[in-house]
Amino acid sequence: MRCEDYLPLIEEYFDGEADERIAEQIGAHLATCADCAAVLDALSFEQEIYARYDRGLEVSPSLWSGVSAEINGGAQPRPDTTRQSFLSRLRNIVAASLAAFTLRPALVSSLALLVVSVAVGSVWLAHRHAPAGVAVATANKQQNVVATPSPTNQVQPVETGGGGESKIISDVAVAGPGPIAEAEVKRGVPRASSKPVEVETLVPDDPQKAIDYKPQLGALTKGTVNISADDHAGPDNPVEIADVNYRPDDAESAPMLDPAQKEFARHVEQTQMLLRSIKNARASDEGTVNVSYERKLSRRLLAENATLRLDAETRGDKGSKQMLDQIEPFLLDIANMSDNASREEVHSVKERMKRNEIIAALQVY
Amino acid sequence: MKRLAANTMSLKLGEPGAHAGALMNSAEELVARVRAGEEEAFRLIFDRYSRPVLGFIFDMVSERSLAEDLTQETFVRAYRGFDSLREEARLSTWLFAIAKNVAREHLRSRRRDAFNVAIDGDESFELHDKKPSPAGQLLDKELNGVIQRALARLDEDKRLVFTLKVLQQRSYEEIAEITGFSVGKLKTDLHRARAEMRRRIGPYLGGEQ
Repeated sequence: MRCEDYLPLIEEYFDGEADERIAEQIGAHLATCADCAAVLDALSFEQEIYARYDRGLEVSPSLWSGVSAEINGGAQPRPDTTRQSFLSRLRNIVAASLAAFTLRPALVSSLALLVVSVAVGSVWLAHRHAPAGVAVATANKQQNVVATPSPTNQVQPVETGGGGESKIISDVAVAGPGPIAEAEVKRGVPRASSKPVEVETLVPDDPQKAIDYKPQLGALTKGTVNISADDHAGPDNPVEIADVNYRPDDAESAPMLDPAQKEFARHVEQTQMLLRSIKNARASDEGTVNVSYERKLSRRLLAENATLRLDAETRGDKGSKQMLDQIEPFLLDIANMSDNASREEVHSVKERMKRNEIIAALQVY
Repeated sequence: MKRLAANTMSLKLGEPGAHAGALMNSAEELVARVRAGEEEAFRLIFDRYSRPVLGFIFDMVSERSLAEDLTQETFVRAYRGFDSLREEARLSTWLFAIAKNVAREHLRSRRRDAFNVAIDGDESFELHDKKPSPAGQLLDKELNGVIQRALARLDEDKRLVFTLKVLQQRSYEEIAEITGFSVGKLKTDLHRARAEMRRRIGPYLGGEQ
């Protein structure tokens, strides 16, 4: 077969959906064809990007309340009157009004311009009356930002009644102009019965207490095809765009998870990245796969895994322990590979990962 | 094919042991308990699947509050239609199929609303497209916005397949079952969706794509 024949199959190969015979042929072709290998690399790179996609969603307790009420015959609406709900309602009202017209582009444009003007004016007026030094922070990556100046200048966490992806926001100083006008400090891990903190406010500068906090974010650079867990979560990889002054005093007063839980979540995330890296690894011309980085990472995670498992056992957290038990054999296998593992060696691990669907298990965690 | 994910989804770090029992229950066992009238078992199913279902619906409708409403509707329908679940081990696939129906019904009704032509039109998502950022400086937050806008611009079938495969990591077989599409169609849609997404987010990733 020629490249034109292989190209449509590379996605299937990447998705792990090509049948074994075809997969072997594609693997052999990729080892000798730089153009097709580049297509596979691009897919790996994209998957890395999509793996970082965070909708910022949490399942709020009210969601179950709504389901429970309905299945018990109550049919009560969820008591969730968020700003977005209001916007949705507003949009529906506007939509209904506009439906009466024939939606001529000029009319729609004019109305849109009017709405935007009013919105911009309102925002300008609001900011004009706000005290100097107000820093707006958002608690949810996708939600609208609401700034609520507080007379006491204290962080006002929303009581969630169960925790959740606690996001403790402190005063924010955005260094320089850019597309991001907000910064956030994310703390904790998801829990089901949670409601995201929606509003944060300004806090007074206290240079004695404030510590510099750099959001953990890896650089998105082409060429980092193998996912580096350190890129995602390591403190060695700060972003230089914004500085956030994180105040431990505020954090203590806000709902957040204990360090062990955060450590566990980070461990799970890094393991997921490691396994993805192995999943996307491909053999060189010599039929070997350079997994030296993955081995090193795996050894570190393996040691961490043992510690966390012991900790989970001590705390009686059966769920976490079970997850760590599932992870360990994969970490062991990767740690025991040679730096230049044979294609078969890697294939065997990939097969078990696929069979056990371990990546999916970690992803939905 | 039974997904291991089904046995691990309900881990809740913040509530040690609160719902850890869910881990000990296979999908089949939970289904049997729900059929026996045990509402707590349905709560465990909700705990286990609500997050991925909410994420999936959000990707389809691009609106948080609406996604929550539709997730609620999904689980209510699931509860009321439990008898229609034939293969207990495929609980997850079955729930996603219901979620897909709920989301598509909503999208269809929204399409009837002329105003949403403007909402869903390309104009709404051009805000950042003209200003590609250097890849190394792209914050996750902005990346999320870029992906969301690009997703929203895919047509419904492509968005459905792309979300299930790339974001939810479902197999072709499961996607075919959830969507009712043939494997051939979903492969074609997936290929096109990836190409469109690549074109839209490419400028943010260094401009090499």
